[in-house]
Amino acid sequence: MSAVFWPLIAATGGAGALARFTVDQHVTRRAGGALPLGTLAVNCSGALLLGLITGAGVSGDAALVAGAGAIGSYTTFSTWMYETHRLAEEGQAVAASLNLVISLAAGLAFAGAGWAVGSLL
Amino acid sequence: MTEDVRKLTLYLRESDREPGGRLVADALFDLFQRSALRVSVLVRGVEGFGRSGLVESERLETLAVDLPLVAVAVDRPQRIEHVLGEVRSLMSSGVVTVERARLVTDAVPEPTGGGTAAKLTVYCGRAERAEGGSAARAVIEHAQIHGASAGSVLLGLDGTVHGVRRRARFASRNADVPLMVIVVGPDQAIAAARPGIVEMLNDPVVTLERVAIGDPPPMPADAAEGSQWWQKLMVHCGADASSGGRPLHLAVLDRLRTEGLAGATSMRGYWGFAAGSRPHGDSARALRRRTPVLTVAVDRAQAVERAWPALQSLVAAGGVLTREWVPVVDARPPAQA
Repeated sequence: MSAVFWPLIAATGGAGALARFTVDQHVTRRAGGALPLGTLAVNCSGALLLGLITGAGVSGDAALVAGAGAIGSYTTFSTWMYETHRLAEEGQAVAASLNLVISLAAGLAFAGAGWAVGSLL
Repeated sequence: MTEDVRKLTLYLRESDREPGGRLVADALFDLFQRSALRVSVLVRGVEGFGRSGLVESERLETLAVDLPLVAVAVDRPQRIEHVLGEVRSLMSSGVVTVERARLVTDAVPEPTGGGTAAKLTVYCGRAERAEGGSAARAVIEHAQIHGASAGSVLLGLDGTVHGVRRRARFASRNADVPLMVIVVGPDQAIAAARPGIVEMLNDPVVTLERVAIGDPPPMPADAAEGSQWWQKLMVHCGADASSGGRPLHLAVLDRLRTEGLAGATSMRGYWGFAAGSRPHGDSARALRRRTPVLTVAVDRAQAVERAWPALQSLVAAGGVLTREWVPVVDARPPAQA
């Protein structure tokens, strides 16, 4: 990869992180409730986007900038784990399990749907 | 012997800044240090909401950026009066109360007088020891044996103890940083527990206040000048108390919000009990947290009155609900961002 792309990855990574915070907080504020839906929303929308990009055949440096830069910082595995752990800590075993299962199933479905749409482009 | 003191309490937010641009919490405790206040403690809430109705919560990453704080300072009336003007000039939003309390200076029992229930607050260092263990845990144990209804140990992040600043630092032992032990119970239980508690501590700062566990207390006739009487609700939730599959304090906080209270803060105790449970804290072996949570709300009497029946039925699941009259000297809505 050319060094030209480094600042580009930094910039898209920064933008992805800001987008994550904004979307996550917006959804969490409105949804409230028992499950951390803000994190679910960024992870699913990120999976959809990455599916779309790879399905559309984007590769090489461009895929790296989009995937590792923007979507890498937009989606969050660590927060998903952290918030699941917090549910378990509070004795909410059902909510913690649902948070794992729903995120996995929905994430796969969104990635697959993104790929299917992307490959039509 | 007891001494008449004032307890200054501020309900604020972590990100609040004073007009000069510094964090209010920092500026506040610098002021308490300069004024060498007898005791002061800063406690961070784990969850709460303010006038905007927006929930801040440690549980969810993006809601944990502006958690509620509670700052408490206790000293002689004229010394509290002296800092009050500057405290109010620092504050950007939130609520300030100045309550009467009695500082218990020796172990001789004295009738708590008037109320049906009482609240005892002990201020000491995190690492202070008593009866061969943690002083805070010994206070909790002693209070429960004598029939107290609930008690929690709240760790401070910053504060002054006998006039000396003690601030918690990351990756430090923080032995001298103050904590606060709050115990409530029927008058006779608190009166029975008091001498032992005062005796077991080295240099105790212990205050006593009247509260009501059941029906509303009569309104005091003597509001200080420039203040108005509001009520303070405190809900002590036991470690294992739950409602609808969620920890009880979350249900309590939701209810306070839907009942339209102006704000509330939940603080996680490090150790404690409520409503007949054994004193508990976290264990390194268990995933599930087993700590008490104390939720505080201050609002006008009619708002508290409206929420009271619903709260009473909620706390039947393992909590203790108290209220008391508090003189509010300042209450400001959040500035529009």
